[in-house]
Amino acid sequence: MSIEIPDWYVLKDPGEISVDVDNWNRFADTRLQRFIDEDLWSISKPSWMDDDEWYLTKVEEMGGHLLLRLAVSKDPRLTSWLVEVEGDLFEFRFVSSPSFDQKIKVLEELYEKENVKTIQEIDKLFKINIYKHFNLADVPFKSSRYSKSKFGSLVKDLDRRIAVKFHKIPSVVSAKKVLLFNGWGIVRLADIRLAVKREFEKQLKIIIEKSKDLVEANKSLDNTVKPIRDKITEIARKTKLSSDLSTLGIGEGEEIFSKPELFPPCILELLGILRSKGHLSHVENWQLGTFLKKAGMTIEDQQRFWYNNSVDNVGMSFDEFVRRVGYQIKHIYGEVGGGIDYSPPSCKTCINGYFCYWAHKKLEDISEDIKTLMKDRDQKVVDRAIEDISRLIINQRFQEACGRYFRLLTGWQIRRVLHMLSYTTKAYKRFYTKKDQKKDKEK
Amino acid sequence: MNEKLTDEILAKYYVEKFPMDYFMSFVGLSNFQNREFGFVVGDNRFVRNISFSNTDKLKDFMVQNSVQHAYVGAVYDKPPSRENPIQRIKWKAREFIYDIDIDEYDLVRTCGCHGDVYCKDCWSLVQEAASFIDKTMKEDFGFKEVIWFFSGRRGVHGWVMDKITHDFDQAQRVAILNYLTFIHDEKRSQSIEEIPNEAKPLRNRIYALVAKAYLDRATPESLKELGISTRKANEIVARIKTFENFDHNDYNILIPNDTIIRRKLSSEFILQRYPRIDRKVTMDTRRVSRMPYSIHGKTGQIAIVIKDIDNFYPDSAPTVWDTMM
Repeated sequence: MSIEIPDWYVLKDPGEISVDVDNWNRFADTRLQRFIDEDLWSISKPSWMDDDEWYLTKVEEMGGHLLLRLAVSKDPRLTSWLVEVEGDLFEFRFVSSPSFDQKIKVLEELYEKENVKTIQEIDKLFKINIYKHFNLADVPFKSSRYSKSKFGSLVKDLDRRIAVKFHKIPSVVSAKKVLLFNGWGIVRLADIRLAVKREFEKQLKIIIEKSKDLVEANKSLDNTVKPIRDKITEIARKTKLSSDLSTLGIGEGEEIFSKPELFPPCILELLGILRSKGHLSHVENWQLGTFLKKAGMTIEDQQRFWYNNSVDNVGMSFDEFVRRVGYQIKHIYGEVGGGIDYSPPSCKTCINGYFCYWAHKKLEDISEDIKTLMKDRDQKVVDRAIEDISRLIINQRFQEACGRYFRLLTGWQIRRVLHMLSYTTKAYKRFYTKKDQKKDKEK
Repeated sequence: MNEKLTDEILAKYYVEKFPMDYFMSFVGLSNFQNREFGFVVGDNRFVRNISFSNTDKLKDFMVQNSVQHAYVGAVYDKPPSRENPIQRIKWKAREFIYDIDIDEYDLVRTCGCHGDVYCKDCWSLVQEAASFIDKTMKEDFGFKEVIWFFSGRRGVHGWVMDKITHDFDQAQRVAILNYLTFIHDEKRSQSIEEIPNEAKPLRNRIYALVAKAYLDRATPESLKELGISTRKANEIVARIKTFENFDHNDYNILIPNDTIIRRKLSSEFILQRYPRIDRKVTMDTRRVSRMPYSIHGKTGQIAIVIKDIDNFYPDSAPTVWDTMM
């Protein structure tokens, strides 16, 4: 029996559904509300439901989704938000789907059929028993880790393995969480679920971008989706729609430097080097520049900042400096070059090629830095933290060392830091949001 | 270099000896006119954003311009030129290439060589790296053919010939590189990543090739420094050379089953003998790479195909003067 693509897979061809604008607006409204309420809901036909009623449920699902797509298509920020929330919903439905075959079907849709195989198919193709040949039984499954994840006990089949062509799952290959055999990545569903979610989000984004032309060419369609778009825009004003830190209100221009506790150690160190030596390497310039952009600095703020701190401009007027160096700064903001709105590199990238405080600074100096910074704190606590951090650095676990440092600084626990922006976001929540809330309560 | 590389000898090589057909068999005829070339010409001037409508014109250019170094780049949607530089035209494809240079190992070479200087002892690091990558490309990634070229001076280039790789974007190239990478920040802290349990073929290959190469050169004293007992260290040194086809099972039998010792040992053999790849060459989709069979302007040696990497030593590569005899 051939398995059909599940009805919750919103990227599938909707087939024949009649467009009913009034109802679709209502469906979109309901779907939007559920996203705002952070409701992750399943869609599968209950045994008691007749076919007509099920058809209506499917129309509601698809119609609401299609209208939201059209509504956000003209605004990249709204598009990012929809992609994010639809991505979360897709991930939930994927991991909690009770049918392994349906999961395979979804993977075939996302990655194309020829790039996905079951382990039995691989065994047959290469005349091998993958499980026996590589003794896969001795790779333990971290079930407790997944049951503690945000979907808890709802996850199904995550310890089962499938085969996907390696070039379709670069992030998994990159992390070496894969057994590669003749070009096939043998992976547990648990290890590719995030890659699958990213692929879904990527494809959804492309579809939304394509539908922008449709909305721009059709005035009446644009008017139809306007109420929903206005509603999403209103939500956008109230909530954080992306990881852009400027929306968190860290500060504007030089004001951001008045809150050094929000800066990850790599950025503080780069600022220190720049201020004392007057120059950084090219990649360090880029790392600092992209961070400052996300922290809230405008192009003009950064031009002034680099002019004031860089030794390369001795004897040069500000205008001349902007003419010479302005291009690189504008490039960070996507105003020249490829037009990309760059983000700072992730911690892994920093460790491998940019600057990571824990990976690239001498252990003795790190220890001294922490002692100086924490001289007013309980010495025993600081010594224990330095001991933990040293052990983590020696074992090359730099991101965890950063997490331990964050705990020492804030009292909040992070196992490991993945990105300098997430460090700042969390520090902001710790030092500002909570206090603000407390102050509000006191008032 | 035994003689001066004159304009005449350069031109003569490209007129009479440069195997254009053989070179074309590596880069392919389709889209030739949209492929970028780069050259170091005359007085050490580097020029790129150059394309040719046919191979005769490429040959004419190399003959007439005193080409010290010749490079081949990516394919674009239009012929690259000064008016249409590669930044302004759309990238289409590029070969998937590895570059291994002996000077990448400067921090761990113990023979006394440094920079461009090499000896048979340290050159074995390049040979081992090429063999390791070759096997990994074929067995793990399923590629059919990897051709190794001499770079003309201090290293080798591996070209993965499977067409599918030409379309790989930067993320896909970096993913393969990261899969192969265990030494991070190679020129500074040299952090070593732990060998993962899930990537079993890679792990088994590391034991079979990298650990074996390290243990072949180990002394009882060096093993004792890692915490291995005197008796076991002597046994390892005595037995390692007796294995004909050392594999991961032999490794597991030979090495004490002690987590800390194993971790220390694997960090050490990865640090000392694991491949060190010039990442930029592999991941940068717009980079130009030395043209197979071109002359290296500093040594006069030809970037020939290496038929047997295990027995190739740079001195055996012909120079432009050898080809003229």
